[in-house]
Amino acid sequence: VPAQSRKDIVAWVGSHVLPHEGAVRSWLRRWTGRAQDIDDVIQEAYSRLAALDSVSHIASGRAYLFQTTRNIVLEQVRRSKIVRIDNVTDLGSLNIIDEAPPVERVVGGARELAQVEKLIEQLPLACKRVFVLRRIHGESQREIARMFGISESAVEKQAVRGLKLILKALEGDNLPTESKEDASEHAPDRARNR
Amino acid sequence: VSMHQTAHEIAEQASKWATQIDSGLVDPDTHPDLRSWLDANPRHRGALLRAEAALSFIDRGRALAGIVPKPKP
Repeated sequence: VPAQSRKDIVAWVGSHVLPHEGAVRSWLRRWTGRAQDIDDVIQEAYSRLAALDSVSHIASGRAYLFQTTRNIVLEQVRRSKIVRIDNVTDLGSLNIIDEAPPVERVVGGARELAQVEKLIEQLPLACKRVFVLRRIHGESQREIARMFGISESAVEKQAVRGLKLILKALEGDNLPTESKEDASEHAPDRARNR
Repeated sequence: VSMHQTAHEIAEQASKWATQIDSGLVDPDTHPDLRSWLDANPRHRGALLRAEAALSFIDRGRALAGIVPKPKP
């Protein structure tokens, strides 16, 4: 497999993996019940992605993230890093994660735009101004600094703050990626609820 | 030392690097401080990928909205 450019991998992760992180986190929370471990598991999953020279073999970013995080948790359980899992008997039911590329789950353009708008909308005002000028209008940090009469490092500070808040928001499971019904498809306890 | 960093601390550092790469301040292939940060812990690479992916995701929203930005520096 030929190596992909760094930029292509970043773009693929941005459109195929990141929008599903919230769903994976909430599934992990239901399964393992420990927030601290979940941050570690998610970060480890991205480390594994970052070690790849190419992602062109991955049919579904969403399925990849579910499978990778599941594997990481199971490895940690084996090494007894996670001593308590709420219901270990549920491990078997994790097989319901479907591995087929979910065509209808590829986030459509309109939905993706709605997600982005929602992410930006929730930023604090000063932060949002800088973020919109930089990202939506493509202004340079220098130009934004000039417009507001502030230093470039002050602009950078707001840009970093905006990115941090957006990453935080992406951890949540309230983005309009899919209907609630779709989301419950991955719940380990689905069988019990029907 | 880096092994004791929390996921949250790593994400903060990654946000800063991603912003500096985006603004053209830092060349991701050559900047010595960034290179040594990336080499210090595999988690750093993952966190940077995630932070840059978030910026890319936002930029796709712009493309979808049909807004043509100024060329970036």
